[in-house]
Amino acid sequence: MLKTTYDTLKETTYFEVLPNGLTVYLIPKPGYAKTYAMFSTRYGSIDNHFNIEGQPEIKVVDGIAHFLEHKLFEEPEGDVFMKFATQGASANAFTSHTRTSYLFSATGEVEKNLTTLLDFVQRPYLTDANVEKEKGIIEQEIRMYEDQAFWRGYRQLLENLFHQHPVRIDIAGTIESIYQINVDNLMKCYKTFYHPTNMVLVVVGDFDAERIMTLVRDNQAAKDFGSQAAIERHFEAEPATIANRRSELKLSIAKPLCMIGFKEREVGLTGHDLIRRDLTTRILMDTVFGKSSDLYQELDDAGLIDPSFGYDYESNAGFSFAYVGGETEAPDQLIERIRDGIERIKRQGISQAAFNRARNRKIGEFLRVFNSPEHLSYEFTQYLFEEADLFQVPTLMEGITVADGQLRFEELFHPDVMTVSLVTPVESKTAASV
Amino acid sequence: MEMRFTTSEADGLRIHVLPTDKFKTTTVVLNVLSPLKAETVTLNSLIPAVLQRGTRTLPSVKALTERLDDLYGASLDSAMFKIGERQVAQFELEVPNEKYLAHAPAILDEGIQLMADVLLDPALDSGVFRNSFVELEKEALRKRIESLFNNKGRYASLRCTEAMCADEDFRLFSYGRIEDLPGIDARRLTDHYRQWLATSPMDVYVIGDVDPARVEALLRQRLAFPERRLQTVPGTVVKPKADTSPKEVVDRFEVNQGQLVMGFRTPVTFNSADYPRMVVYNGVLGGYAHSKLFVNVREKASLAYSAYSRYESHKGLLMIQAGINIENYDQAVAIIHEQLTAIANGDVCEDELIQTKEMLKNDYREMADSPGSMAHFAYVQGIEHTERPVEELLSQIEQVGVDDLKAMAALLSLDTVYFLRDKETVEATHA
Repeated sequence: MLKTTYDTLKETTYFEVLPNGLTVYLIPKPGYAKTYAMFSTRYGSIDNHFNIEGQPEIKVVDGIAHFLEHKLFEEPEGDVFMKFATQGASANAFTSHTRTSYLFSATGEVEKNLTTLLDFVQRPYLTDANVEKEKGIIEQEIRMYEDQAFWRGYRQLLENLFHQHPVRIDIAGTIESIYQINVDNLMKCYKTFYHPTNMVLVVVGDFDAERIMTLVRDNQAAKDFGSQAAIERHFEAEPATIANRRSELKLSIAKPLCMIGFKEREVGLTGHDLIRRDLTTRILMDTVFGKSSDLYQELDDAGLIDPSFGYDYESNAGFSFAYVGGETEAPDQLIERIRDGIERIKRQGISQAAFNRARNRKIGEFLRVFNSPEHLSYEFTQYLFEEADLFQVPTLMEGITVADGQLRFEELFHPDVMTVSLVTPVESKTAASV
Repeated sequence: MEMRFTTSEADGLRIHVLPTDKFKTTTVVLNVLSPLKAETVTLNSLIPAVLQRGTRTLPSVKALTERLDDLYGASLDSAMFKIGERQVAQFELEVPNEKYLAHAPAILDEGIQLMADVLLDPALDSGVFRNSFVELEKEALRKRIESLFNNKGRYASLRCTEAMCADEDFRLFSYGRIEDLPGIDARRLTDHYRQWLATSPMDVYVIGDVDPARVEALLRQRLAFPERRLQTVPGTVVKPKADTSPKEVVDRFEVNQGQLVMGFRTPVTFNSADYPRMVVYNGVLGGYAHSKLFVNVREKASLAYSAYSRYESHKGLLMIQAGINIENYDQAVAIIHEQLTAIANGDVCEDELIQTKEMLKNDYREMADSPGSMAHFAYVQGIEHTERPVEELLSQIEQVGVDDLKAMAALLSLDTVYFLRDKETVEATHA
């Protein structure tokens, strides 16, 4: 077990790779009431075409990663939520484009709950009947998202940005695709992606690290996963261009939602390079679109934005993009002003004072992550999957300058890779007031 | 549990401090209390919004945000919420602790100064709020209210409450009403602001690695009010039973999924001796993933993705909500009624009780890891004049048995059934 201390942050981590390949990180937080454990596989909705090195390629229907996430909670003796509840733990899981995580938070019985977490994820119980039953539940989940404007706008944005990449497919799949899911294709994916070599356990809380590590070691030593060669993931070649300049869909909403996306043309960055680009872009977006920016003030004064206005950047080895937008009565004016604002910055350059201010803000936000065991385990895992280290963020941040920001600006906010996704009201009459 | 705040009170301002080195930031929460009334709900809601537009010395959102950015991403947010029939304007400042920064200024002191300026020293034109700020915030508020419709689950829940409490102040949304906006201008809002400032009880909570005496002195110095005469904010009127047979309310929109909400009245509130029993009742019925609603509506019948209940303990309401396929309405209502009947008949097994109590323990104990939750729970106890120390509450919860749940079931009366569903089809219209 490798212990690392970070003096300025006053944090300590314990790290070990177990003989079966599982990576374990423990981050003690003395004084915290709850312990938070997150068990994750580097397997998300985009991993639909793959093979184990030396074995034949497999293509699967959409929505399997998310379907598996639902099904693993089922045990021969019933729903594992019941067991967690008996032990006072609140359990949950989520599936993203690139990962699936299972987690619990508990203020007691940490060792029992951790054992339950490891065991339920590593002991699939799938039957024809229980797989069939889940389809109705997931169908309702998909329908729920179909009524949510932000999610629909976001999905349409991804369809506009990407030609081929499976990030354009809904994480849950479609109502048609989930009805093609069965025990056989679920287990194929499970066996490939839930091997310990593809997984990470992160535990944050007030505990004795040696005791917890011993528990995990013993728990894993008692199970046999066999050895597995490397996983090879296949993606069709994705052009650097965007697929669509603009799309619009209608939904029962009060006012239009407008999202503007920018596609990152360079893919394949990992580790330190990916994180540095990510941090630079985030500081840059705060500088350009943040509440203290000229552009924000202009849009606000013109009444074109409201508190739903926001922006984000998602970066991964295989696909990266930025988006900005929100609800607005006048989407075309908003698009025009943002386009003009970007042109203006291109001519005038980025202010050094504004960029440094945004960097200070990011340093403060980074500290906040350590207040919350949830955020800390989420972010820490995300960095690991990108082959990077969350604790390196302050050092990396110190080295990012306005010149880096300027370069990023020219690469990313280019008219050639800009797309618009609109969601507009289907009814002319607004809803009854609340 | 280390959730004990030290409180001091003077000039209608209560200051509560909880020193702890658990967090890397310091949180300062300021709550301003008003009655929830149709005449003032929208005015109250506009005040924090306009105040956050700018101060006398930092007279724009840009200038204010630049100042916060300089304080290493300090955040200053506001929100409106209700505690029963009381309306609360909340300001929350969070600043990084200087200890973790290489070369930082006195961030907490400057953050508190900024918070005080926002509250007490707004940007004014000829003694009133700037007209442009007021108009922008009126527009932003109109949009915020209209946008509730974009989240169908939340919209359905608000519509059910509104229909259920049509003749009570509790129907009001914490951010106010669109219909009031045309009648509000800068002059009227400024007059209201001065009155609000002079008469509203205020509480400040500070959580972080601070010296209590020093931070209290700092707050007293910065939050120097003109003379204050506090108004009495009345408690909530609780209607213990539904008047008549259940009201049925249907809204029709072009939606993919139906939202069913059933609203019940109970005489049990935060102050009642029965409070721990009702909390357990709600947990067994629909608070968790092991609860009867989730297990029977979602897991056994595959009718819904979400199915839960929520206990609003200040007004004494219990709300059941499920997102369902529209054609499954009758089946969902029937299964929900079966769950209610099951508890009323004492059909609750030992496991369900244990699981619910364990989950409640977890929920209450983990508040100690969140500065916001600690401040909120302490505030609610103060407002309701009922001390509920966590461990004492948990030992009361531990004693709840099946007979107690049967007794709670007998106190529930169904008031309103709300259904948000699709538009009528042509066939349906002709049928």
